[in-house]
Amino acid sequence: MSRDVIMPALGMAQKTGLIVRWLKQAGDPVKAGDVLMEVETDKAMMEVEADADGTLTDVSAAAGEEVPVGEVIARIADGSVAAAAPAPRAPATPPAVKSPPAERTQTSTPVRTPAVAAAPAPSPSPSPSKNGRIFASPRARRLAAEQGLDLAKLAEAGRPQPYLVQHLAELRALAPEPAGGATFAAAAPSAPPLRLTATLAKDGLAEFCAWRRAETGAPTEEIAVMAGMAAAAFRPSASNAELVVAAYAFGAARSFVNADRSGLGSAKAVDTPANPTLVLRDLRGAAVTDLSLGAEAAPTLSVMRRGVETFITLECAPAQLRPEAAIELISEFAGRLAEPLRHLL
Amino acid sequence: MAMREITLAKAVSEAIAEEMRRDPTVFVMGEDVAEAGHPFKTLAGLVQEFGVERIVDTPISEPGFMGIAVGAAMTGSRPIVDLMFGDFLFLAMDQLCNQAAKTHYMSGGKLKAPLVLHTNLGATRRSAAQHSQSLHALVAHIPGVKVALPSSAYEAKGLLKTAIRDDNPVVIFHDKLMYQDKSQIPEEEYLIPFGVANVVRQGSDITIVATSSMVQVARQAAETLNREGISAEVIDPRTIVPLDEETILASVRKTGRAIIVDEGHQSFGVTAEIASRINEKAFYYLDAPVRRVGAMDVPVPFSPPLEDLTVPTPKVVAEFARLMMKGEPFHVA
Repeated sequence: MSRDVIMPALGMAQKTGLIVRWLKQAGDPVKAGDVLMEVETDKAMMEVEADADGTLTDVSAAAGEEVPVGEVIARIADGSVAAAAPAPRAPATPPAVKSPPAERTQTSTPVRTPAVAAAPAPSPSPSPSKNGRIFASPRARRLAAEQGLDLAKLAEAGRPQPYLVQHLAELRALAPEPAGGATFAAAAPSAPPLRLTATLAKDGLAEFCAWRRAETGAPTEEIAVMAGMAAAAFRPSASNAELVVAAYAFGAARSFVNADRSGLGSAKAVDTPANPTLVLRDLRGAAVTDLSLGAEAAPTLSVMRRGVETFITLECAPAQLRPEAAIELISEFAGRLAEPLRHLL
Repeated sequence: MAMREITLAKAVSEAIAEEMRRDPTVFVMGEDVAEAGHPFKTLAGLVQEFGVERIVDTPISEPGFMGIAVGAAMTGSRPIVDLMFGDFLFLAMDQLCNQAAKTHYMSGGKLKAPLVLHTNLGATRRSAAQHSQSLHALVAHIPGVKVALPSSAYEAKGLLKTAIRDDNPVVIFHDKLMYQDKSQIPEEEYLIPFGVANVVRQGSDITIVATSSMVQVARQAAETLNREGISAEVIDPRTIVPLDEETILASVRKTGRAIIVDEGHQSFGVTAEIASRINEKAFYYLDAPVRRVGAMDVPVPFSPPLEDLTVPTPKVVAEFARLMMKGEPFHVA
């Protein structure tokens, strides 16, 4: 049993090392920790120590030689042996730094096989589970609903769950086309406008404006504050485009441009609303407690009072906002109206 | 457009040299950056052109020179701090995350800290547990810090130039195994904007979102899958802060399946964040649970055979994709 002595990598970009001198010769007994040789790199001079007790043998590189990093230049044999003749240099395993990333990824053996076993295997169940629940991917479920298909029919037909999009063709073959076609598909061409509503137990607007007036001494209009909140709530859908909120309050119409980008309530109003991105109606002073006007040129937020509650509607055409974006818009606006400090985060 | 081929290390030094010529307030500081030109030779030649006043060797004291850089940034300079290994981030965390990241916010916009922390990530260099980590998720967690993860020499040059011009702290990580990788870059000056993902490969069956060197892993997996008739789309977000959610979500809405590959530890990391956003915002488009492939949750081993097992590979990514296509790893209660 013998151990290899290799040219160590002492620097990060080092390819070779220069043997300055050997402090032990072939045949010398060595102890772990004894200095075997001195090596010079582009950066420093280092001493290389023996890592085991034994006898130094097979010294294959002389002082003054440049040796590639990783090459075997001697061995430490167990016990004491007669000095062996210099052996030819053994090819060394190249250090990993030389292999390009593409290679490392190809050659490494993955033991990390996907943990299918860890996930409970889907038990093929011919019918809906005891509680009637059908397992299907969210996408398959949505597409089935949109196309008026009933996933339970697949279960009744004995198809093992869960159901993926690929199983819908089978379901379509099972289900005869209902008279008049699938409701969702039929509705699509002339899709109705979106109308979303939100109710707040109390809005924090008056309180916030009073606080702002007291703190800054600046006049603070509720409509300007609301326009800022509406603009900020709509910003994710507008990304960096210019965002014009046309605001109507007490019969007056004004526009606020990029009201989310100035301090809340300090956006300058412009007189004529031109091609607004968003329409905001403050009807809290009016007797109106609900409305349904259909889609207009831009998504429209209306704010009304119902006793102490604040009631908000958002109306828009499906082409103006995706349902997710509409939900986000009204939720964000309502959240800010309820707690204006949210706007500052 | 005239093109030429350069290494990632060369791309880094070119980007820095171009920005230093353009803007006299840009300077570099770090360990072994001047005469040595950095141990990975990423800064070779800079001190010869710009001198030791602008390519500054520091003592071995990351908290010290990181702090100096934050102060310099606040007072009008645009420092590029070189951290020899990404693992040393822990030493610079207070200066970066408590000071630089919050300067603009806490001064009410009166101060800026336009600094770049230039460092690296990536295992399989046989550098053991303290020199092999991929710690980009740590800084991505802190609001006020932008995080760029170039996946090639082309990306490195364009993203580094954008980072240097940004008025906020940016941390840019290169995979240390990619410094000698070459790619084609234009002769002319170019910048790559932050927050705009790159669709590396178009596909229709499954989306693979991959960062840094994992883009190569994803591409190799996609090629394997393609031979089996599975069409994978590969997306490189380029920056994780800001993250181009729209491109990722649009792809997942199209394919219905997603695998996220990143070399940081899998738990509480980049893969989890992106997977979670897909679940939140594209749930009804998913035909399979989103899969994460990160590095194993262990200190990176020094033993080469063990180290190789801890990182994501094309084989693992392709195997996940096959199972997702079949619907096998489905969790059913």
